[in-house]
Amino acid sequence: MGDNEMPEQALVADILGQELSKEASQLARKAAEDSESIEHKLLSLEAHAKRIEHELSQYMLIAKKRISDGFWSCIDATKELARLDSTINLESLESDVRIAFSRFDSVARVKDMSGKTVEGMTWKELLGLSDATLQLFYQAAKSLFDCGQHPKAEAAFFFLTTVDYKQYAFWLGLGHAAFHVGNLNQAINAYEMADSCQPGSIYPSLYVANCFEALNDYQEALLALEKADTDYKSQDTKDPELEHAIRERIMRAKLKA
Amino acid sequence: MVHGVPEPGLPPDLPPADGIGKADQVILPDTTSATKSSATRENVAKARNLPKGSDKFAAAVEASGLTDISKDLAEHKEKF
Repeated sequence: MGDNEMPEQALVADILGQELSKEASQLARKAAEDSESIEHKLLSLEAHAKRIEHELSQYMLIAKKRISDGFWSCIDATKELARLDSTINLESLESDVRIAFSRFDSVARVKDMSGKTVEGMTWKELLGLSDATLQLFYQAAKSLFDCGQHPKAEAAFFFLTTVDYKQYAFWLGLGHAAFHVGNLNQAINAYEMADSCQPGSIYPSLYVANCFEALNDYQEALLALEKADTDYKSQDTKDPELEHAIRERIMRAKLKA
Repeated sequence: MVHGVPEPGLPPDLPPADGIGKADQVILPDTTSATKSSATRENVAKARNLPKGSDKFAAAVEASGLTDISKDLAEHKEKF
């Protein structure tokens, strides 16, 4: 390899991994300095920063594994779907995916793309993944969920929300799958993201209420149900059964709150 | 479940794949109060349970995770 040639993908991944650890350390220090939590008052700044750094490192490992596992879950599930559906073109999918991921060919380029995602762009846009590929991956993730393979579905939707954080359906899928594996905080966060993707949508709030009810937190469940009720009232189209169901749930939550 | 109304315990229904990739064009049906998506990178970091000001870190973790996939694809050409 000459001086001007791009490093191999493996080298890029290694360098990014090392830089990420440094970033975690810097972020932990800043978060500890800004923190007003009780922990901050009980621990020295150094100890508090170390604790946050440990948490960030854990997140880093888990998130990276979920993204990778989720991608391969999508691929495997798509292959399963293709066995039953001859219209699914795996060659076209592979070509789209390989071209997209070949763009991670230098540290400088990855950093540039990473900066653009901070400004609001999605990885889908930056990598040039097609709508058809994402629709297929969504179908695959949904099929995992529908078959009850919730841990795989959770990883698949984690990957999809990474690739395109603007999709309501991806966050809803992550919320549902996380709910079923008992990761209720993850589910609540995912439903809140779904709500931000489609402000005014009733269902994310109802699903958040489900999570809080599962946590026996009826005060928070009530707040979520009341938000759903407010969103329902702001809609032009009325659905008496939906309205009745929301009201009933509010009454039940009030009794338990 | 009544007409898609979620009961405690959770409904398994997810929306169909139609419309994926067209988030910016999504218009809520029959809703006058529909507003444009307010999903931001800051919200994503929050959704991942990361501390305030983690947008850059969250993006870097994503980049690193996706680069790992790129590495796998380059190394295992037979995976598809």
